[in-house]
Order: sequence, then structure tokens, then C-alpha cells
Amino acid sequence: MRIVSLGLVALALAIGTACTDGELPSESELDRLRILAARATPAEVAPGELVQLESLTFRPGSGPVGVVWELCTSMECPSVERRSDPASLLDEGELDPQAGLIGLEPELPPMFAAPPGVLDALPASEQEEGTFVRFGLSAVAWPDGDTEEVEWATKDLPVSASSTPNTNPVLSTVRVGVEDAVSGDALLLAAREHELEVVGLDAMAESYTYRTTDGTVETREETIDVRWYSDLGSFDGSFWDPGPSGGSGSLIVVVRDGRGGTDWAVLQVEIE
Amino acid sequence: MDWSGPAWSLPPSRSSACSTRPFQTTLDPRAALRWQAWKGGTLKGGTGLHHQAPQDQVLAFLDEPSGFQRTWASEVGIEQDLWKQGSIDLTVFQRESTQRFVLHPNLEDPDTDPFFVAEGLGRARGLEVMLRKDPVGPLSGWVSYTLSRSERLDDPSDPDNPWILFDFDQTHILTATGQWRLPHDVILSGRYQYVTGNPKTAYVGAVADLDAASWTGVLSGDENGERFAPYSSLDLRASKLWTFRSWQLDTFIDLLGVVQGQNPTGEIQAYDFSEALLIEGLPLIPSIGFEATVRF
Repeated sequence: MRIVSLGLVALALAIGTACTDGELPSESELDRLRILAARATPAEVAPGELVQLESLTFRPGSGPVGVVWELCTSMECPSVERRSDPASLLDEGELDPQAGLIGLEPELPPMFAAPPGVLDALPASEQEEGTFVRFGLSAVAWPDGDTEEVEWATKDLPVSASSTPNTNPVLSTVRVGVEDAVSGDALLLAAREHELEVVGLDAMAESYTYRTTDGTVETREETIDVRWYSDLGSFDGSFWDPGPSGGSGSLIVVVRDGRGGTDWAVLQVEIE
Repeated sequence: MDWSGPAWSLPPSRSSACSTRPFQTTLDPRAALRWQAWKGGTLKGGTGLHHQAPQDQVLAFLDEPSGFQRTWASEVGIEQDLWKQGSIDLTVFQRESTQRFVLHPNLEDPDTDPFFVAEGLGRARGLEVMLRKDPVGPLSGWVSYTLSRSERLDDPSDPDNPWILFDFDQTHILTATGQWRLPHDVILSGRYQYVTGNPKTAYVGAVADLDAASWTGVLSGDENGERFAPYSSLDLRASKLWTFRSWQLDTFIDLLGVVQGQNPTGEIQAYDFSEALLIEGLPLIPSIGFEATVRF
């Protein structure tokens, strides 16, 4: 006697698939204290050259924000790792220039002189590409806010012997729907979706030479990264719906060249 | 060799084991004893040494043949028949591991210091209970419960270094299955499982890289100090066997996940690690099928 079996799962219905429940906050939607960008001017320096630093922050309600800038050593940023707030660091006297304090915005605008010997440890062939210095930023709603809520960030400053150092991109005009604006403008916008555009984006991208580790010199082109932020409405790609009429807030755009160069524009908007 | 008698036995399959890798041989002595102490009741115990080679990702960083992780595993237990209808089995176990490969806790020079060192410790202890109902009569099934805790110590030289949970430590594992044979070759069966969620390390914040517009999460110092939600699921099955002169047709319907919890399989972090969404397991999955058996 032979036995033959034939089996079949005739129907298998998954009512759904593995899923998540709810939504995560969007990076573009501003709903809490944030450090959005930091800029060094110039964007790339030579040893001994002085650089001015500034940050772009957002705080709901437009209250003041205190930002401590400190120099990180060996990739360790003391206050970022300790997660201390600027007020306590200053009160306790832990931050001083000897300990790496670069500045406290807005009271003490951060400045920094690249150490003269920072490239000495590099072979001559690598000094043109150079190295970088890292800063740690700690922002807090200060002096009148909740100092428990601290925002931490890092910013790298390229230091090199390049004959053509990087420069910051220059963001001059942004287009919101059909309106052109520059940083600081106030716009009155309709309560509908608007297309967002950075005017002259292609012109911002620099060509530059890059020396690889084997000594080959390549010509490269920057790719400009554009990020939009607002405390109103929601984003869908390059489109922004500012929400219902009657709202007012900020529309912010930050451009980065991928080599440490940064610029931004901040617009005040009212929705009619 | 089988040392067995009316009351004692030493299972030969567990007397020893050998492991050989290039240039290395280990001897793993093991012993297990069973003693029928009274009618229907058996006491049992065992102990032994187990060696385990480093995992491949560790071997890739080892320049020369290394030792093996050593684990002493011991257990004692009791089994009792229950009126010819089933049995209950209780086992208490403990495992102590040494020479676990861990990341070098004091790595200073990557050019000379090894990335991994065989200095970690591990331990696991717990108990298992299994209650069986043999297929005598229409009902059968079993319930199994495990209570355990498994921990590791990566740097025993540092007195401040605490024991932390293994990534797959599960405090409670409960599994119950049952089957009910009805007339006319109809069978109803089900399974329920509950497992404590795996440990995880919470994020306490994040640091933004302002040049790359990206974020790096900052992990809590309390490694594996939190857990995912537990897994629980009830599956049901009904089957009917149709018998004909020369063939049989077994039809069934399965309902997987009739009752279940969130059953997370992971989580997705927000851009700034401020919150997370759970990736939940599969929902209710009904399926029907058949199996035909033909006799020639």
C-alpha cells in the first residue's frame, strides 16, 4: 500500500502587517527649544586665524536663549557629555577661557583663534586638507526659562593650510509661493499650501579641489543641503502648509555645503 | 558505558564531550544522575563544563588562537507522575561563565591593545516547571513556566562596574498548550505564550551635529535598565478529519494571535531620540488548509 499526502494552506489572510502606532515628531516642525545651525566666519581657517561663531536657535514664544560655546578636546565636549546647563556652569565657575569657554551667546559672542601649531602633527602632504576643531554647544531657555531643558550640539571648524579655503554659502533670497523675501522680512501669507524655494541654489555650490590620502587631487562640487523649519503647520517635501488663518510664527531655512559652510534666513510670517 | 540499575542511572550521552578547533582542544566533563526515590518520583541532577568558541565577530579581531568561554552548568530537579494521567517536573538551574570575550574595558592604543579580552563573567539562574497532561482521554496538554535571570559583568577588575542583564534576558516565560478531542474526529487546540520583553537601554537625549544636520542618541548609563513590552499571544486551531474508503482529508483553520499584546519587535526613534514608536508584531492571522492522504 502506498500512501501519498498532499497538503496545502489554502488561504492565509493577514488582517494587517507589522505596524507602528502613532507618529513621530518631524525635524522641520519647531515645538521646543532647538539649536538649528551654527556658523563660523570664515568657514575654514588657517592656523592662528581668528573666527567668529554664531548659532541659530529657536524657542517657542521667542524668549531669549543662552548658548554656551566650549572647545572640545579629543572629541570630548565637557558640558555636552555632562549635560549641564549653561547657568549652572557659569554659576559654578566651571567654564572659563582656560577650561575651554569660547563664548556665551548673546552676552559674550563666541570667538576663537585656531591654535598656531594645530597642523604641526600632520605630514606636509595632509596639511592642505588639514584637520578640524570641535565646539560643543549647550542651549537653554536662559535666563528666564526652564533650565532643565537643555539642547546639545557640536560644530566642527575646518583648519587647514589650503590656498582656497571653503567659504560660507550666501543665501540671499527665498521664495514662498510667489513671494520673494530676504532674511528678516515679514510675510503675509494665505492659509494654503506654498511651495518653498531657495533662489540661486545652484550658484551657492562651489567647486573645490580635494587631495585624497594617496595624493591624487580631485575636483569636486559641493552639494547644498536645504532644511526648512517652522513653528506653524506642516511640511511635505518642499511644500509647506502653514495652517489656519490667524497664525503667526517663523519660517526658517538653513543651507549647508557639506564642508562646514552654513547660512540661513529667518522670516516672520502671518497667516491671513 | 551505561551505569544503570533499578534506581540509579548515569546517562552515557552526557558523560563527556570534546571540542576541537585549530590548535585547541577542550575536554568537557559532564555527569547526570537520576534516582527513582519513590514510586513515580525521580530526583535528578547534573553538572558539567561547557566550552564555547568566540563568535566570528570576535575572532575577526583576534590575531592568535584564543581560549574558549567556560561555563559550569548545574541543575537539580524532581519529576513526579500524577496518577498515570501526566507528570510534573521541577528543575532549578545555575550557570556560571568565565573567560567571556568582551570589549577591552581599558583600550588605550588600538594599534597594540586587543579589541576583545576574555575577562568577562556571566551568570544565569532560575527554575523551570512543567506540568503535563498525557493524552489519556479527550484532554491533553502541558504548561511550562521558566523564571530566570541572566547577567554579565564585563570588567570584573572595576568594583564600580555593575552586573547588567544580558540582551536576551527574559524573566518569565509561560507557555500553555491544550488539545480537546471531540467526537467525529474533530480536534480543538490552542496555545498561549507570555514572555517578558527583552532589556533595552534608554536614550536620555541626543547631540545634534550641526554640520551634518544629524543627531546622535545619548544612551543612559543604566545599560539594559529598561525593557520592551512583553510578548503574549493566544493561538487557536480547529481541525476535522474526513475519512473515506481509500483516502482521508484533514481540514483545519488556524487563528494566530486571537488575543495578543503589543508584541514589539523593535522601535523607531524620532530624529532627536526624544521619543520612539514601537514596531508591533503581526496582527490576527487566520488561515485555512487541508491535507489529503491517499492509499493505493
